[in-house]
Amino acid sequence: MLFGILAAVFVTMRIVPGDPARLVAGPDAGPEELAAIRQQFGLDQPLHIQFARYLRDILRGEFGRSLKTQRPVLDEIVPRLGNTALLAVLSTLFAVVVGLLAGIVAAARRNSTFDHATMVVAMMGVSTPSFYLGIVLIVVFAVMLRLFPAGGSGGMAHLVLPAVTLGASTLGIVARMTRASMIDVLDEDYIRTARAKGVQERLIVARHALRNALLPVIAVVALQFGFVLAGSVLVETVFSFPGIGWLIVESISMRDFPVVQGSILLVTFVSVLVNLAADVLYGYADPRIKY
Amino acid sequence: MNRRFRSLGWMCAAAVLLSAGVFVLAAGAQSGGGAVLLATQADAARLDPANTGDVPSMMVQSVMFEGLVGWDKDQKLVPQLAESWTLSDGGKSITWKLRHGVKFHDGEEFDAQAAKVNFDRWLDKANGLLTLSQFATVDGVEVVDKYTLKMTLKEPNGALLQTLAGRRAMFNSPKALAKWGKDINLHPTGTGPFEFVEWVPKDRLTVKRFDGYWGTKPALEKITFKPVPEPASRVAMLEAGDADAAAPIPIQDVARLRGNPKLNVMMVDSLDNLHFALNMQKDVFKDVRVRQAVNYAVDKDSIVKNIYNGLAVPLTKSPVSPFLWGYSAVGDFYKYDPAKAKELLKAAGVKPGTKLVMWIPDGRYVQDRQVGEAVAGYLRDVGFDIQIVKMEWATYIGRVGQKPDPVAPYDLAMLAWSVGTQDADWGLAGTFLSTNWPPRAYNLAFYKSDVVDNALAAGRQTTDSAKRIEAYKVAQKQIMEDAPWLFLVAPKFIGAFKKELQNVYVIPFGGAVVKDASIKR
Repeated sequence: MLFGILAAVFVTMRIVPGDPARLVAGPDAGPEELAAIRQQFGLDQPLHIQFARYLRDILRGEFGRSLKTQRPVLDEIVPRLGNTALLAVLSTLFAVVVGLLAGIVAAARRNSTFDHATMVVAMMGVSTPSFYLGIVLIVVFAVMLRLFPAGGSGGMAHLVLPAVTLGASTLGIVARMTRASMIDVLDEDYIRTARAKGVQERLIVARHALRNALLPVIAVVALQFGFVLAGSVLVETVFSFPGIGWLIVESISMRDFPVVQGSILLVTFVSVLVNLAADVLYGYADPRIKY
Repeated sequence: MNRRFRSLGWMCAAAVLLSAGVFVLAAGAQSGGGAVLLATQADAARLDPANTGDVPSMMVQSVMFEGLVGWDKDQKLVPQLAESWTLSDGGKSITWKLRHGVKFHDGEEFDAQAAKVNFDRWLDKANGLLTLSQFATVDGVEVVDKYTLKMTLKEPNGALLQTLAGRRAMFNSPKALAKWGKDINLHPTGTGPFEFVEWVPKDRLTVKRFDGYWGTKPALEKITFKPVPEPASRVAMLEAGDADAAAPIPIQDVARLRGNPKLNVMMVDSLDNLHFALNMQKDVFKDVRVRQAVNYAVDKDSIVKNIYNGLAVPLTKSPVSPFLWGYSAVGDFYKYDPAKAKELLKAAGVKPGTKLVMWIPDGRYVQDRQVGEAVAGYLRDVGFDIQIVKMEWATYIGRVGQKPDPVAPYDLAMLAWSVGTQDADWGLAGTFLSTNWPPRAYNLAFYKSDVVDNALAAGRQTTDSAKRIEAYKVAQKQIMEDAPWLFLVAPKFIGAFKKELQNVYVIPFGGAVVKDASIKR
């Protein structure tokens, strides 16, 4: 699969029009410089030779150098992939913790004001574009209240607004899913049996109901993770957060082939790992699933 | 059951408050003391001046590096590491007297030998640096004595001084060049007032005051360049106090920021001369009357007023920005006159409904799409049928830069030509010289005028400033009359600074300059 993705990205980047040499060199460059750049990066070679060379280098673990910055591609990608991973994990954590709690409380207080308010907020979380939400949060929490930095990275404080922005949509989905599946589970016969036996309500919710209600939520969160990575593109741009999404967008717009190829390869790899982890977690939550 | 869940609700609220509290404690001030944080449009790409093609990199480099000559605040050419220079051999030889007591950031001394090492590196074809064609006229340099450098040229070159002041010819320490080789890009070692500290790509680039600096020592201790690509976020960082300065500022934010008592908004006419090249390979634009008609048909004053909120100057006196060295106001051309445009079109035999394809690099220039749409409206008013084609910049520059096959597909193509040398030589030649049709350079109109070709050659071959200005004046006048472009506007470059920052300014090339700043609290 990775080979397929490699080939697809390689070909796509070269089909779209655009000349990396011109983009890198700027308007002052003459034909001599452009030729030198193309030669330096092998862009003057036929496509199949470029691809063969690229495959050979990848197998050796060499990702090449960025056309724009001339740094090794892995030096460009790895720190930023780490930043995005941290942001994605924090935003998912935020979404799951707050979403679960809100969903549970809403289910328990079905049709109360809290329930309605939570579901309206959840709906807004799902439907507000992250770009817009990000700017609103910056204006309110950074410009007006001065609670958090308006952008950049450097500490936990810098992660709050981006994580909330990125997690908002997952939060909404998790809250709604949890509420729905808790309501179903709480109406089950075995819950009634547990209550009849005099088990504490808190234990019923935490041990009997929640565990079963979690199954669909885990599946959704794992699926959402891919969207979180995709969403990071916008959120990182709004918050000037040095992550992989921003790097990919900028590299595409500069036709920085090696960086785009390397980034997508690594992001694919990470997504596969996350889905694998979700499958394992699923088995843990539901003992009936064994691998 | 409600009561039992109330405790859960409280736990939830407590968790959220607790985490928010931790985050608030972690939030700290970004700047203070003698440190300044400047929010920029994009991260630097490279830190080797000789191999840099983008403005953000050049702005960062300009605080760390110096050349033989440079520009002052008003964009006047001034000596930098050279104290003086004399021309001989009919302008084919320049002898440079170098400044004494100049140190690189690694402690090495700057002298004629150090300068020679750099020139040799720039001129060596094997290095494939972006200095190659800029210094194609330089035959070589030799060391006369420790502080005297002799430069030999293949032919006299009037633009050379400006090119040397341009942002590529700045010196790296020879020791650092030898040590780092191709990785010098990541280890900038110049003679400038600030020295490199760290570069975390896409996050920040930090420089600190260089205590061994030969000139006036900077008041600031530290400058951090912070790339913030989203304009609304850049402005928000400044308003929130996270940034001390930000540039460029979107025009729609200018009025609000001007009303902010804590901020200073500054602006300057930029070098960007926004225009549409009129493709003269196409039959319709072969007739000069049609090209002039197109210029009469567009109300540039209205574009300035309504699309730029007045923050631009119309290009009615010259094809280039007033800040380009060699600029002359050569008349007052093409005042908005749709009746005259229609008349000219009729005389040229252009039928109403003639189709024109207009290419726009969407998002590249300030208000580019809006200008394109306004122009299309004006041209429709005089009878053209306009098809707008928008492309992102990478696609655009690749396509307009191609060798035409056999003619370029556009009728009008938008561009702004801003050159790092700030000199009329490349400022005009890159887009009007007949040998610079794509793919060689960006004469996107496929314009050919013997008058212009000769004037540009004359301007280049003499080193007499007065004669050069006269030559470029001839070229500018001819270009305005021939109208190979639909001349539009030079937008202002806008930056905003905290009020306590003194002695800061913006430059036409597109940057906020904070290196000379001091902080008054």
